Amino acid sequence: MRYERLSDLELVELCNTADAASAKRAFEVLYTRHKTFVLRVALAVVHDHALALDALQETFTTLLVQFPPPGEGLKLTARLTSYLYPIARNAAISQLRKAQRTRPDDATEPDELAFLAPDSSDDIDILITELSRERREVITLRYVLDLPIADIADALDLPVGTVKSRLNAAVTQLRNSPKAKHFFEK
Amino acid sequence: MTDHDDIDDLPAELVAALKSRELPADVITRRVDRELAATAAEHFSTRKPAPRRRAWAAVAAVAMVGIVLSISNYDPAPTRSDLFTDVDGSGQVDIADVLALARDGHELTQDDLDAFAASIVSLNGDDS
Repeated sequence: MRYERLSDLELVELCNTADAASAKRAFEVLYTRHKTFVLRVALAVVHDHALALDALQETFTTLLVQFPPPGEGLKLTARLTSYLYPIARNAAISQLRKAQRTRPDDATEPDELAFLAPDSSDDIDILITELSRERREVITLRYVLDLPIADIADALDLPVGTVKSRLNAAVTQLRNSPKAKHFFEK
Repeated sequence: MTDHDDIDDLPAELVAALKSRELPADVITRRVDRELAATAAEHFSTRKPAPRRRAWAAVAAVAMVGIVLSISNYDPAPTRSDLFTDVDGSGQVDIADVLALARDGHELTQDDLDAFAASIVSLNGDDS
């Protein structure tokens, strides 16, 4: 069987029900297919390659334990990326917290809160920091990670209308920001 | 952008600037690759292979041979319980041996084939 040709749904079904060798192979293909996406999400949160790798491992371990035994099996109702996004995001935040606990001098609560808001004096960074966390997140998912609206809604467990309204508000805020004015005038 | 016509798009240059802030994801993941593969192998190791499918496929194949033989003009021959041996030298007695016997012109009765099918199922005790 050419596992690489199977859809995510088919691979998930193999992970749920197939014999040991087939399930393992199906899981490996899912991992290979989606690890870059998970890494990008993690990097967007932690801005650190080592922490992002730990988040990557945690994310796929979380996925793995959904499959029997002892998991109940994963029923995929949306794209796998939508399922993986919140896991990856939370894993990254968790790694960030762990890292900060080992650095007491820098013990401020991590900004899950500062999602995609690195310390920088670049205009674009300042611009992004001006957005609320919710707006920053939808802008990142839509324009950096290129997720469709429906997938963002699944990933954030929000109605599509709420995602659209957050995106609209974020775009409007950026348009009205003096720091982004030149982008919109071109 | 096709899925949200009611949302104004960001200018391409601003999108490019946003993307440029992203750290490259070309991280070497060999350690995680290895560890996850080991974790996955361990996780799935408690699952049994699929002997049921193999055994029943063998039974089905035997049935097919039976059908073919029964519609051929073979004369019935007495059943010999020691007929099913490792004819092809593969190290195990399986459907290939039955086929080898048939190919060599041995006369196999339906009783022979039924006995062989039953012996496969009983060897895979968890298949019943």
